[in-house]
Amino acid sequence: MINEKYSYNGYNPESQAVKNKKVELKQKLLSKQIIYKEYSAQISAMKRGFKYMDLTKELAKDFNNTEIIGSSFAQREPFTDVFPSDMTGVTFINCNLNNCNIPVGNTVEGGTNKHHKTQNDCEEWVVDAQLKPIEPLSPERYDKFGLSKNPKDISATPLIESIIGIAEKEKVKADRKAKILEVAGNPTLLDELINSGKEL
Amino acid sequence: MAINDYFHVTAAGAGDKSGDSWANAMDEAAFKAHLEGAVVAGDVHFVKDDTYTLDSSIDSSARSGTAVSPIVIIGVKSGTTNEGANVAYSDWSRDAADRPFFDCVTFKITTGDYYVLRNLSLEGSDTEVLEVGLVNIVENCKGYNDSGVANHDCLKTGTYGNVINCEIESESGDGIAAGSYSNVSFCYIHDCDNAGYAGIKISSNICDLAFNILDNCAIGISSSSRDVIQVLNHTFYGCGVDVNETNGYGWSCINNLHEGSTTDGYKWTTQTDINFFWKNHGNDARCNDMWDLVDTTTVFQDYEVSTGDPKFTTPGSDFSLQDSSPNIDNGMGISLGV
Repeated sequence: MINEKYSYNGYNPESQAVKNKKVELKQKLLSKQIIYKEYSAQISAMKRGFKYMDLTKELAKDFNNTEIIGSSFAQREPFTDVFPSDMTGVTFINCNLNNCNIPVGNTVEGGTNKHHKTQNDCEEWVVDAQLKPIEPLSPERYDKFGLSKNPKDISATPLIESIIGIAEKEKVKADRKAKILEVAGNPTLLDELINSGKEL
Repeated sequence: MAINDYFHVTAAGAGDKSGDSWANAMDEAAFKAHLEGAVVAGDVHFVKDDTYTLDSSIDSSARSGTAVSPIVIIGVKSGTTNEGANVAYSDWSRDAADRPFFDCVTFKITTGDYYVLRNLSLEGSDTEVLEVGLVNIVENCKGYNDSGVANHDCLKTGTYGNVINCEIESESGDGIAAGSYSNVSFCYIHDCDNAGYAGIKISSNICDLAFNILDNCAIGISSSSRDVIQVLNHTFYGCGVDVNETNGYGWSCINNLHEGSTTDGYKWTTQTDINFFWKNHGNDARCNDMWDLVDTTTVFQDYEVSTGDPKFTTPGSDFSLQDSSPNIDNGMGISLGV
């Protein structure tokens, strides 16, 4: 049985309640009871669903023995209790459960349920129970720039900027330098560049 | 434009999830797989208003459109029944309330080159929420980076990026990191208020910025040694520094309205006089230091600067001007007698 309340972030654009809420917010905007960025933020909040929410005080029976599909319960800090501790029989299908503790007796199918924390390189790393980094949350970004994915290579002091951002800027500089060297040694390419009116 | 095929996307998906109709709509997972491994130039995707939760990044940087056949992603209203070529403009999610919402959580969406993204709302906490490649158009979208980590930006454009009519917010990084030859216009960029970060960060030369509102940003427009930038018809409200540059040249700053800057209106680290300022509005009384290392005494100054209360309808929320505003009919227009 699909859990209507908690599936797809609880946002059902076809429901009358959601339609009414949209109309209400629009009327508040037009009558200047709220300003645009408040209107926009409330719309986003309505769609955002359960991210960063604490549901531990909810009733377990509202969850028990249901399927929850495509929702985000992600938390900012690793190993956060989100659900009622006595919740059982819930199958999470393709949900984002990062940093969520899942009570025993429930199942996760697909989606993600990693625990991660920002490290000194300003990137998110999957951490163990002692909060020690194990691997980057998005390892493909490290691969792209040939950066080490070994947690021992994380900077001992906090970087001001993401290591990925730094690597990206260095790559842009290196590419530009390579292009300049290529063009400088090739009169045909140099003529093409001059005629194009573009900068390197 | 040469359209290759149409695809339909809903949060739950339907049927065989091939996307060929609403009855076979892709879900988020199928959409991601399609964008990363199958999309080709000329593909048009209609994404219904709903919440799409990412459990990993969507990276279609290896798949690009072309100038004549871009890859298109358009948000449409939840009740849309029209399909393919029959989807009408009236189906589009033009209102903020109807935009499909991509909850990127700790992940991001990266596109290849030649994409058109319209009517989408994206929120996340990665280094960017959305990163687009070369020659992209992002229109009527909302982006919000909710990360508490510095330098995590909202939107990053490649060369020839176009960001039009978008709402942008970033908790701790820049709102828009604009690549070379980019155009940012008619955007509402607000609350990018982490010290040292900007609503618009210009990361290379030659950008056109026009008709944007920069509201409560630590820096409105920021760059370092970037040249040939046009800053036209902006409203800066309650920012720290409105326009911050080191020694860039070839800038044209015209018809901008500055109000409530807490540190500077225009700030250059090294006075660089081959820049053009004309018909801007603001003074030290209302912007602390309106011209910081910008010439105010010789031929390079803004001789037509205006001052005083600009008389917004509601300062901080409704930036339209009252009839009594000194800025009405006071901007630069054609003055050649034609």
